[in-house]
Amino acid sequence: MRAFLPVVDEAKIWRRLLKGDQQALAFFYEKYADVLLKYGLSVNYNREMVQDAVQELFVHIWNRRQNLTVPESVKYYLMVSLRRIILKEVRNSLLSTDAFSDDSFSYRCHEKHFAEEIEEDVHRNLQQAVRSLPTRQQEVIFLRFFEKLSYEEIASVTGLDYQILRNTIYRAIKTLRQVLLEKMPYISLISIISSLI
Amino acid sequence: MDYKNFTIEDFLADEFFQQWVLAPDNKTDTFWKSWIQENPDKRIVIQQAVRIACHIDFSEKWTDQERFQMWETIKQELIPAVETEELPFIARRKIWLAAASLVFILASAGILLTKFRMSEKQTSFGQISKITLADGSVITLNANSKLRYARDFLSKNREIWIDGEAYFEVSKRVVNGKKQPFTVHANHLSIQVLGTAFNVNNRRGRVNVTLEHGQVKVVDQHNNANNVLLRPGEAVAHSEKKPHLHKEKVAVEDYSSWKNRVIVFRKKSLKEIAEMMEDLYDMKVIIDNAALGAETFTGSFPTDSSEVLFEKLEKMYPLQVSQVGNEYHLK
Repeated sequence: MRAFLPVVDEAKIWRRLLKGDQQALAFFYEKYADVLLKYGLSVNYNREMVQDAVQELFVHIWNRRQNLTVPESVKYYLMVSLRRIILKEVRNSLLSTDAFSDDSFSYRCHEKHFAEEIEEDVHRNLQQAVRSLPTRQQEVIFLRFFEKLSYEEIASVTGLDYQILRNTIYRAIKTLRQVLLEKMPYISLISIISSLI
Repeated sequence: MDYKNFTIEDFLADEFFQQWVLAPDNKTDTFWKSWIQENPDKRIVIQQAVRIACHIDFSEKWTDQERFQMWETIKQELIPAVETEELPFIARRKIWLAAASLVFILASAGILLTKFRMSEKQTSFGQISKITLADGSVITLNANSKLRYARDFLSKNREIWIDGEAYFEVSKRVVNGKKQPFTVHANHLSIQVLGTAFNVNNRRGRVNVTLEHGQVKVVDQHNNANNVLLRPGEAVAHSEKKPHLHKEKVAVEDYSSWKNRVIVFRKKSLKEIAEMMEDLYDMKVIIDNAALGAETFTGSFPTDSSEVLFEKLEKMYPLQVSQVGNEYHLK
């Protein structure tokens, strides 16, 4: 898969993992922990839950390594597996009465206070806007704009139909732009000015 | 595809356009560059679309501590479970009998024991101490503060009572597949936690909760509807005068800096500082000049050397500090 071309030979390290080399597991943990956080939050914005899911994922891989094969792309494999764990967990928490589940869905990343340039403002506003999208939209935006997966690849990760995927992205983009315009009504003016310079 | 009537949204949602912005290759680059030349009026629209696409980012990262703790948790579960040896039936029966009688004895003694079942940790003036609980949670207790918790606090809900000030780093704990709650009681506020780090200050009838990371829910026990969910970087204060829980954004580090043995003031009035010195060091700070009471002070000083604070105060304000016994007079 194009977007996942590894620089090092991950298949080789993965095979070491399968043979019981814990350092190989540590390698993948170190390398992908942050991407899994970003992606996990896109599937469900709940840091606690993502943390548990990442832990479960690596424990699961290790304890069942006898049954595993070498994936075409480790990153892709980790992401898809994480997604499965989180969605299972979301279903469970919807069934149980968890005092925190309601609030966690409207959770936004917290703002930092420092003197910011306009670009940083755009950046921050956009990030917040992305994190307040419905989770399905966050997920496709993450896969497309951060992971740079093709529509086809996204469809295979999420199981979304191509047309539905296109509509989901369109709706997300529209919301993002609207939020940006509301928060920074002067933004269109700025880009006009900067294009004149 | 006819792009002539495309809006910013249309461009952004177009796979071919995205491909150019996200990972340009010869094909997309040639196409879009010549298209812009042919449609100069669309330049601004394109520019804005590119700009938005470039700023879509996901910046969340694990903190070093989270990263480390997660890996520790993972490692613990990697070790294959040791098979417990099956005891013969009769032995098991004996254990049951012994256990049953023990329960009986404990139950009858229970009422008497209630008083002694609480653990108490207390710090004196000027002392900071670190307490690690059975579940791995770490509590840093500030000077002149008191913690109380049940000796068997792991068996039921984890509950802690605080007078004074403490910084909590709560470990997550799962019992029978369910997360075990952790509750801190301060006056009649209860702070419900899942696994997180936060500061609680409960002095002079005023409670202040500041959240560093994770999530906590602060509930007024006299009125459950009066509650608030804190997110990282937020704080909530509660007192008799201001009973309604209203959260605000704060510089969290200032509130918990004492655990690193630095006290930070940000626009604190001398009156507030004087109260704090009394709470932490049992120093009586008396402001003789009433006009000074309202002056605000921003700065920091090491917790083990309160003289530094006075030195700084003397430099910043037209005042003099004189010590009479345990009293410090600001003139």
